[in-house]
Amino acid sequence: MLNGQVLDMQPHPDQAPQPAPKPVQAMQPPSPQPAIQQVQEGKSGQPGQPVQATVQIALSNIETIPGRTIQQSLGIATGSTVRAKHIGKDILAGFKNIVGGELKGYTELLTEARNQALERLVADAAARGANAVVNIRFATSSVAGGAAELFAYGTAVIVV
Amino acid sequence: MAEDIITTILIWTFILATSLVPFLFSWIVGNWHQKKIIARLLEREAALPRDNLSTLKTPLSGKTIANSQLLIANVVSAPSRWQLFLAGIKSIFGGNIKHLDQMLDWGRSEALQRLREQASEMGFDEVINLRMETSTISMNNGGRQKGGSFEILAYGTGIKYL
Repeated sequence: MLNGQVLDMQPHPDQAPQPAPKPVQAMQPPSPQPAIQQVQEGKSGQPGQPVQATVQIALSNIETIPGRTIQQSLGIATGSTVRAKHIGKDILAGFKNIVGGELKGYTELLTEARNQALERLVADAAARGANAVVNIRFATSSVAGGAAELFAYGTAVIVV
Repeated sequence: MAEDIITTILIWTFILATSLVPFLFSWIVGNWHQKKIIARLLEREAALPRDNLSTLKTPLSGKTIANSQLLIANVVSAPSRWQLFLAGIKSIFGGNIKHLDQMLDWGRSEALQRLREQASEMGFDEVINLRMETSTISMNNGGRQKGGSFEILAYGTGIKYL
């Protein structure tokens, strides 16, 4: 059974020379993108200035924004937040912990915190004058005293 | 003499109420609750026609992509007190601790299922470059670490074909 499956996965000698279809070509024709068309020019590259709320930044965790071309890289955009637990939620979670299962209070807390970290990442990217952040990664670490640090980082780029 | 007996009874009542009763409660109710949520998750998984998640960076079908967005789903979950107790005993002898597997497995499947549902609700055809991450959440209660709760995070890029 297993050998048969492995043999099936071997490319047939007749089919082997055919090159695989390039996914890059499929992404070439520029297509209407309602989400990114609303992008306006933000305040360019002055950190410390308040970011305009109208700036929309395209986010993805692959190397490109599909259908767009990266023109310039502007370095790493980061955003982090440290959240401590709410004492009432912690007591409730302690009760819930007896039977196991989802701790909804904590799920909501971490979702909010992660959204805040992403907002800070977007603000950082906007301060650099980027209109997209690609290759976003998340990291979570628990710090002392029941607090958690949520960290998001990615590459700020200008896409056209 | 009578006072001694009363004190002994009180002490034993206290010990039982704080240790044994939560364990028994956790054993009975926890098993029932966990079976219920696992059955519910299996129903939801069967309801979706196909799996739209993939860990590839580019989709296998060479179609043109019209729209993309970052999607995030997470779940915080914990094994029951009873399972932690059994795991503590089992860890003396080592080996596979299957009592902890159940909730971890559920949490991971639940996070993936939430991502699938989020993607299909928002009209995305596929989620590519799926990444998953597990982290422990410390519950600090009176200076004493307890709980063994963990967070599963799943994120990827939702794409929509033209």
